[in-house]
Amino acid sequence: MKSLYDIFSKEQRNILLWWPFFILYYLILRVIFGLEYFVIYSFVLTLIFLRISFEISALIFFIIGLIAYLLNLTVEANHYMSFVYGFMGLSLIKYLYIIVSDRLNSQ
Amino acid sequence: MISLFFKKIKSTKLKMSNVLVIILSLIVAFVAVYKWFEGGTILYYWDTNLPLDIKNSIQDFFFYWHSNVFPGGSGNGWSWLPYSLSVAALLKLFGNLSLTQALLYFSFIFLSIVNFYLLLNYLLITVVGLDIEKNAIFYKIISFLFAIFYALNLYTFYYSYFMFNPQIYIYSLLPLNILALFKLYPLGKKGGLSNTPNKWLFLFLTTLIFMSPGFTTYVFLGQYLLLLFFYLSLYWFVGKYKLLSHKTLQIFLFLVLILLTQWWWFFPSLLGFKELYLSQSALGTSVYFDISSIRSNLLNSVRLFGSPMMNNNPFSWDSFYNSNLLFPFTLFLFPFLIIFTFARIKEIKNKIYLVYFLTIFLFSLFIVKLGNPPFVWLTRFAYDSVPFFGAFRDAWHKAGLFYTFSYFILSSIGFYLVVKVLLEEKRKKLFLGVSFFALIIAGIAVTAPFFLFSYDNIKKIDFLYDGKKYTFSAKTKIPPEYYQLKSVLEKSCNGTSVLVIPKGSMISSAVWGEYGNSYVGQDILNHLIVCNFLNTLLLQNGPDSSNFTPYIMLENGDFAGFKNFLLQNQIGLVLIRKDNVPYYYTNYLNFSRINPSLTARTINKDSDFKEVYENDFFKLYKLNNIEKNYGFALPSTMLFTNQALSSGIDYAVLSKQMGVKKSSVIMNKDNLMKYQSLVNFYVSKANCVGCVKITPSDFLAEVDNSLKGKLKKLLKPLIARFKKAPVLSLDEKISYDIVGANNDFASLMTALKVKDSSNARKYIIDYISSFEKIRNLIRKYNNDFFSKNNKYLEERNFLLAQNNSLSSYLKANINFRDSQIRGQLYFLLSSQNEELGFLNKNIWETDFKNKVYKMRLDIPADGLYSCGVYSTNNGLNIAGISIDNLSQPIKIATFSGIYKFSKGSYPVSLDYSVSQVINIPNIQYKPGGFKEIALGVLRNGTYHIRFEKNSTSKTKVAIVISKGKLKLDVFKNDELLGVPNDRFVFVSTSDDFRDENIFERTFGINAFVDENYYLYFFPLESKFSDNTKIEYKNFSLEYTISNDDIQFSCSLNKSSGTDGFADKIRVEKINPTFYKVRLPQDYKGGFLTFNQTYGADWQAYTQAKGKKHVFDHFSNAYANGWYIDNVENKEIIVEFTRQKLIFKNAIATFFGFIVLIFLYIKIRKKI
Repeated sequence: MKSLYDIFSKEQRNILLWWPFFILYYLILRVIFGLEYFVIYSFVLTLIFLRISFEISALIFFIIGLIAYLLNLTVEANHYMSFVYGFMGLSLIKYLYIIVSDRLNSQ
Repeated sequence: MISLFFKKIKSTKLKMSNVLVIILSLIVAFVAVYKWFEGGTILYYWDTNLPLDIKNSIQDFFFYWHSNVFPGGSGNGWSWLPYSLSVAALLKLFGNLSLTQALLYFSFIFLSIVNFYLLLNYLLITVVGLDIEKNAIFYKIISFLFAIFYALNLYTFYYSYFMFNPQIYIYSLLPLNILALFKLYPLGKKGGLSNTPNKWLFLFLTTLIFMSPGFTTYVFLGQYLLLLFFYLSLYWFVGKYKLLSHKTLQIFLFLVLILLTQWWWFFPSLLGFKELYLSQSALGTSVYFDISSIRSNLLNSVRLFGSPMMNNNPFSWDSFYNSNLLFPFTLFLFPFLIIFTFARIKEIKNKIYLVYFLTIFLFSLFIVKLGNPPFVWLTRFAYDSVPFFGAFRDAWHKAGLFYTFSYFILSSIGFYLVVKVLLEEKRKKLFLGVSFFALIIAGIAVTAPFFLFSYDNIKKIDFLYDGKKYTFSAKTKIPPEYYQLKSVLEKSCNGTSVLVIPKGSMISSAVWGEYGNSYVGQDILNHLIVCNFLNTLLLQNGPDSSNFTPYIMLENGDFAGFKNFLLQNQIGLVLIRKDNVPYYYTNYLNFSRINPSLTARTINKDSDFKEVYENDFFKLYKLNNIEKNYGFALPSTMLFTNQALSSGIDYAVLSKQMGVKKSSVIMNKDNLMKYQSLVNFYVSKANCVGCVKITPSDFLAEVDNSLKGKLKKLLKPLIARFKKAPVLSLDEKISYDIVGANNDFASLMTALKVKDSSNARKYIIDYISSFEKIRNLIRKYNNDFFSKNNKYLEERNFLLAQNNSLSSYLKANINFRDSQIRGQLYFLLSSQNEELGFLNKNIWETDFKNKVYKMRLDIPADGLYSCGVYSTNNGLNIAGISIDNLSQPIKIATFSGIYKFSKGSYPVSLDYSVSQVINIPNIQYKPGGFKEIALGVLRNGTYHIRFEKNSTSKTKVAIVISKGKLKLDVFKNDELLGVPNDRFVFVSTSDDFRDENIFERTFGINAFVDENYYLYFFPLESKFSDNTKIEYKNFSLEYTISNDDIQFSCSLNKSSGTDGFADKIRVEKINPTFYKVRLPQDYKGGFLTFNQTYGADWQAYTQAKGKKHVFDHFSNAYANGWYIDNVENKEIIVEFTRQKLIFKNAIATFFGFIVLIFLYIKIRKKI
């Protein structure tokens, strides 16, 4: 079970993969492509693919949401909050899975 | 000095800081509530249910039958007993309502702070794993600040305090309850119980019992049980206990104990669940889905605002949250802290607790956000398909309680982590200072309604009446006049009911000018005075309809009918309120004529009424010759009626026809068929023919071109082959063919729309063949007059819809390319027109144009009937009636009399005329000019306006009818939009012009006060297409009639003409659920009626030969009736059996609880 936990919470050693940079990456993509769902979903998949933890991903989207909010793009900010919710949901599923597996493995 | 103080706290460890927390909590609670109760006032607004009188409130909550609103209804149950008992105790102690409510508010805030503080401290050590001794001061300040935020935030302001809601019982005790749970079953610590488990068990169960007033909103109980079950499952799962073990048994017993702490009140509520669900779901649940979702999106919900309650109750400072960008930005700190907690979850000692709170947080947030993304479809699916999920109809309220709870727990843990991280930093003072500053700012924003915006945190409503401005304020004080009335009324209301004028709605209102007070909320009279009031709504159609009747009669000027209704229903007291200022939500516009002073003047003239009391706000009259039998009677009349008895008018007709009879058993349903032979009074109401107009477009359903629709179409004939064809009567066959032809027509129109010529040709042939078939069948149809007429109406309605649709299509596609199809369509149109001509000539229906009202009168038995018209339209004059039995028509000049009828159906035609308000033969004005026509005072009612164009001018004009005179400048300078909407009755451009030449429109006037109305013509364009004079002719405005305006009814009286034993009955009321009825000695049996709302649990029985004999119970219209078939014992007990049942349940629950608690403790000691 420990390995599963590690998979989801792998420490990133590459400086370019430090989580605050992802906010910058997304903002660049947002400027280039505009508000496009394929960009957001690709970005989400990239975060998962790079094994950025769900909680950190939620934090990234939360900060992007705050930036959008401060730019008075409240509808857009609300979209990002949906992704925050989604990542928190995934995080919950992850922990519940860990609890269940832990119990089942011990039997 | 300050550092010395902190050092002192540090050195004295927990004790000193705990005392400080208590003192500070008391101060905070005092500051938060002081303004609301300053000057001896209370907070009373809209739904607030404050027990105003000890006896009334305990009676109201202890007995399951609420009789304070006539004719009574079953209540929610005992869950509110802790609330009413605590108010009663405080009232008894202080004798002051203001102080009582202030103490309650104060206690809730204090308890919320202290309990949450205790829970946070526990989580700090057990879950976060912080060393409390080290940097204790920081952590304690954080705990205290978050405890204040938890106690006083936007959610508690809107959903608990500004308008009191007993959910605060849960909210304030939940932290302690959950702390006790954690102490009893700590997660991640196998078997480890607290050192003092009995103390925590006691705390857990006590807090749970005291939370029950909040659980009256059942959805809270459901959520609470779910989160408890989830926690114990987690405990069992993580502890790796075996299924068959003492521990599992102990957990199971614990769950049963939890259920038993609520079962004493929940069981009775469950018995009344069906009635509650029916009244609560009357509006449906999905209606709330979109309305409640408007502002509760995630962006707002994660900052605790945007709730429906906030939207519906605007305060002056709302813009700070809704329009300002920076002020509510500070609130993002809390969700940030929650995410931060999970980003740093590795530093948490006991992660399972976080998983538990995250589950509550995410699930409740999902419901809170309602119709907002993400996954709206899932929420909608739950609303539509999951049973009782609609209970979350104000989702913010229902799920917000547990959402807020988890929200502040997770965010406080986040802040502990922030402080912990910063304390390890070098420049910790700066960062800590910034962090605390941010927290304080966010705290100010989240608690602002209590402190920052306390200058305006009392709900006020400003409104206008008769040109004067009034204000309702939630901060109020009940004037002494109410208590004076209470002392008089309670002595005289026993056995009878009190009719209040004017009638309140679901809520009531008053303005007490001389005291500078007012109220808008639950009617104070029936909460303060222990009497049976006919005033506010019960939210049950039957009794509410009956309650409207005396008011309808008064509004209609029928004082004799009003008095008779009171006598028939044992309503012996009339209370005139002088403190009511009409307001849209608390008064009825259609009862605007029931002016209290006018009614008082009328009552004064009647010698049967006696004025018994008067003060500045009330005038009380007593009606003579009233039986004070608590609504019990022994009628000798059994009445049959064809009325649905679903409106006040129905009951008015019945009351008028009953005349001086005081009571009767009413048969209008099948359930009384067994007593059919006892019917000795018939009341038949004639039903209008052709009054209900069906919009032709309703019939033209779109063809279902989806895959499912196509498959259905394909399979239908195949399935039909295997099915035995039903044997249809000619009547049914015509109906089937009419629907079939309509389907062919719909397919034809779809084919034409998509320009599918081959299918269009096919459907034209199909439709023509169906059409011809119907035409032939309908000519052959030979039945009675009304059946034949109904068939003609049926065909006409469908055909008219098809004809309208086809002519519009041909008008729009005049250059249709396919000449063959075009020819066929024109042929079709002319055939339809020809058939419509035939039908219109032969149909017998109400002709509004020529003012002939046509009805069908069904006579149930042969005999001499007394007939009459009851009209509620003051602008209506009835010229004469003809009753046609086809062979021997009766033509009468007057509209009431006695006529001989045989059993059967009769066509009744009634000629009427309506009063004309205004008639102008010619109106002229120049283009660019304006025309004003004074219409005079228009009373409430429905009006018809009509005029014709008489000039060739092409200038587009608009027509406006306004309440009061408008300045003509508003038309010139485009300022019309600035005029308040409620000044306009209607604004019309050209859509009401029929045939481009005749303007016709029907409109209604509904206002509390009579006003002058004006009509304006004004040009729509600034540049005019021509200079021709604009001219209209035959301008008329007249009253018009609506469905309920004319009630023609006939009655046949076969009874002896006396009321038999009506006044010989003696009744003793033991309590609202138990009566002893003493029958007269010479009574031989018959019906017993009781005019309280029908309930299956009402039972009448007697002891005959030592055995209990239960009488047959039935619904007597909205009320109760029994057939007394055993008169050996002249004493009959009438009781609401649910009361006894719940009493037994309470005793059983209590003993079961005691046994289980011993068993639980014993098993726990074994482990």
